[in-house]
Amino acid sequence: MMLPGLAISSARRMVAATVALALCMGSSAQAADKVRLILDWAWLPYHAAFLYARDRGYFTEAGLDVTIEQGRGSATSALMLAHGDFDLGHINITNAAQAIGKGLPLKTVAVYQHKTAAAFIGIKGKVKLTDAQSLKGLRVGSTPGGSDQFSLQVFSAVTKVEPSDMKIVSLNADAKNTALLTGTVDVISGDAPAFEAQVKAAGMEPEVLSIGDLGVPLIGFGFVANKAFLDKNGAAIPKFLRAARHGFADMAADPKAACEYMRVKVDALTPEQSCLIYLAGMARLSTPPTDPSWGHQTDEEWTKLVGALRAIGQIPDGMEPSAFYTHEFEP
Amino acid sequence: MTVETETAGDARENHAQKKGAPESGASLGSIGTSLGWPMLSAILGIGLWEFLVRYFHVPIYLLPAPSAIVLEIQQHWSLLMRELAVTVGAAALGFAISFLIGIPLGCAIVLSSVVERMVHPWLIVIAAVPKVVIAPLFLVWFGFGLKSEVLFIVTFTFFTLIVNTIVGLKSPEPELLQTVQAMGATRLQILRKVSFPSALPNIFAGAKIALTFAPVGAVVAEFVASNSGIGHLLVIAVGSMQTALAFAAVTIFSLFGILLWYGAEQLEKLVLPWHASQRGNVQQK
Amino acid sequence: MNSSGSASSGFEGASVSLTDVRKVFVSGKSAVEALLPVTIDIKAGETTAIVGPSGCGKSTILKIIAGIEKPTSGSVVLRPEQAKRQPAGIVFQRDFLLEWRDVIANVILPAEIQKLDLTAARERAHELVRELGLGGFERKLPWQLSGGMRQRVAIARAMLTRPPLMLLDEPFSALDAMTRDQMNELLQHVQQTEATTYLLITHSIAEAVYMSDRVFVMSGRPGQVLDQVEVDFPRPRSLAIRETPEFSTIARRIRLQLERPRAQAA
Repeated sequence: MMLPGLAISSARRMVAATVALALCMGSSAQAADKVRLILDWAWLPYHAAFLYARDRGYFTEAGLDVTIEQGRGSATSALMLAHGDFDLGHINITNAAQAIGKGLPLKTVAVYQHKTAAAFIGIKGKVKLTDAQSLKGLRVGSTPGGSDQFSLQVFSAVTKVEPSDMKIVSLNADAKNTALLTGTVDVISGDAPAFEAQVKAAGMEPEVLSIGDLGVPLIGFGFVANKAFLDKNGAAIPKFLRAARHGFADMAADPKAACEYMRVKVDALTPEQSCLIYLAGMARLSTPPTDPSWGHQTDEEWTKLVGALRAIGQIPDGMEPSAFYTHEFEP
Repeated sequence: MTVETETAGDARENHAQKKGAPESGASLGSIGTSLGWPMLSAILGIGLWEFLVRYFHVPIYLLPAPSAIVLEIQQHWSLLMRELAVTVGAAALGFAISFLIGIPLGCAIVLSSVVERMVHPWLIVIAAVPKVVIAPLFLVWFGFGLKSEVLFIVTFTFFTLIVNTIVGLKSPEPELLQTVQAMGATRLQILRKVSFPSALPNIFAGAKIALTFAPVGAVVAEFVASNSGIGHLLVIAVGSMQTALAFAAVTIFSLFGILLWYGAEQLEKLVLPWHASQRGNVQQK
Repeated sequence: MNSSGSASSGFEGASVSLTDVRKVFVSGKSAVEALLPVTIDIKAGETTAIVGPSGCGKSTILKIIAGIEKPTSGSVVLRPEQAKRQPAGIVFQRDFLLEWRDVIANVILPAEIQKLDLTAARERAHELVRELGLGGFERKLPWQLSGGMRQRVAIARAMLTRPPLMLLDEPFSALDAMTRDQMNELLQHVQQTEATTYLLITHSIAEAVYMSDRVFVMSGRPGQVLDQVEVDFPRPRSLAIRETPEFSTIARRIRLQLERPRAQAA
């Protein structure tokens, strides 16, 4: 940083140079990459991974300054991500694909839950859910406009069991538990880990039919990036993912501690039993964090997903799977 | 002189007539009667609720007993207070903004028919759009937190305030305004000295309603667009089937609302002792 | 006692000359002739009454003089010139007091509006309130007063700035007969100290004759002047004069005038 046109004594020049050098060094040491993360929902047990990564210094070690904001549904989070309010989103990848299909400037950078959590949940003894056909004639609680309406569509396309074969009952997301437990509906459509925990907490046994087991190629959780962030600071993403993975590993190693941590840190109020069941359910669907392929996507799963979504008209014909994801930033 | 008799006697008589039948008992007695019946009714209601829940073994995730709710309030007192403070703060800010825009705008509308015709359609729009639809939009436009929340509260409370202000400002009879006009008053003087004081009962009515709407608006906004406050707490509580806690939050919130309403009524009594609404009616014995 | 308002001492009030004043009310396609051309002379310092049946346009005349209505044709001349600068004091049948102000605050309203000295105005207000028999009620709010008392406050308010013209439009019609009599006597007394020109609109013949120096008798709609009667009793007048033969004669003359058109119609 020379000061052109001014006559300075050599001593002064030395001072100027030293100061300049110190500033440059200082700023690069402080140049922690800012990453704004948005979650899929308000605090839930599996978010402990991110709190660990933040509070145990995994992010800072990786040179990242990460802020975490709770979300209100993967679809909304995708929208805000696309807006530029956030850089990375931990969201449901099926929702992300739908959003990208609509033209939002996002790209999926990692997937750690290759099977969707979407399922039909009933109460053992009251229903028997052996296969897709067993849903015929049952009252099914589903949230209109939510992601389960949409998983229902793909389910029908694959299994040929149509919505008209069932009695679909529209329910607000919060009302689904109560409706199931009081018998207003026979079965609800939703995420298995959450509802398993809730049915058990009510003292009953859940009967679960995972649509992932029926050959429905929907994908669960992963990470999506805002395209502009990718271009500007893509190098931060694998660092982030590795730090997050560490957090996930800690969570998997001691779920009980994770539940306690959430309770203490953010007043997450899920009772311990339910929290453990929830975490176990999520773990079952996810790649173990200790696996080196954690977060890696396969071209095959994307082709299948895009195909399924295209079949129900959620993705326009022109778009190739490669528009939806990239391997470039996997951990 | 006959005139003298009319003044004192008449006044006392009329005063008594207007006040209605004289109240029996000391002031303490009347407080007893005014609080007694509502309290008894509340105790009976809550008692019945507790009994029914226990008798029918209603599960706690469905309908918690009052005792369970009280326990939750005790257990999570600081959490509840903290979140309530957030909600109340946002509500206060939103209400204040609504008030500070609504009253002057109401005056402007009454003073100028051009302003009225231009602003009127927008008021209808604000009133007609279901607020539930607006909150998610605000989230996407303004993000999580106070900005979305406060803006939402403003849309939630604005209409009441401004409509009541306008009705109040237009309430003086034309002949009253003519009388004051004949004294030489300008439009602005009429607004300040007649229309505005005349409007205070209506403005207060609107403000009381808006005051109770504001925290509700805050909670509605928080369901969707904030990660703190009672609304956010409810999202988490309902999501983890912590029905008792959800009820506890709602209870605390409602108690706050009741206190707020009573506070507003007391303030109204202070400011508007002259208005018929504050003078009470003939009491039944 | 010359605090606010009056132009010069010895000022007795304005005179008002209405010449061929006509009023037609137009609403949409229909036109109502309220006043046939009337010519009325209100003399300075006098109390003039206009008496007539309901709807004869007497209130309209008052409103035209007050400037609240404009005549369709004809002229209204106020003398002297400076009288035009000061608004008349007006009292309607309803008191139109401001409910949130106490008695004194109501009375000083005209001074506030005309931006006059408020300390002087308050002093004068206290005087007027006492004169009108409301001493002790200065801090009361209107709802705490009887109808007669409220109307007295309205009168005090109208008198505050010593207007050159006091216009009273059926000021006592809403009161019961006994209160009305008391108010007549009181106002008549007060006029001794608050000398100015008074115009009283009324449908009570007795009130018109008792209160005024001159009575204009008007017919029903469309209004026209039927007669003009001078009333010569010395002031101050007690209510007892209403039982004198002279009073009855005048009252009878007016009554007959008012009854005639009806008889004709029948």
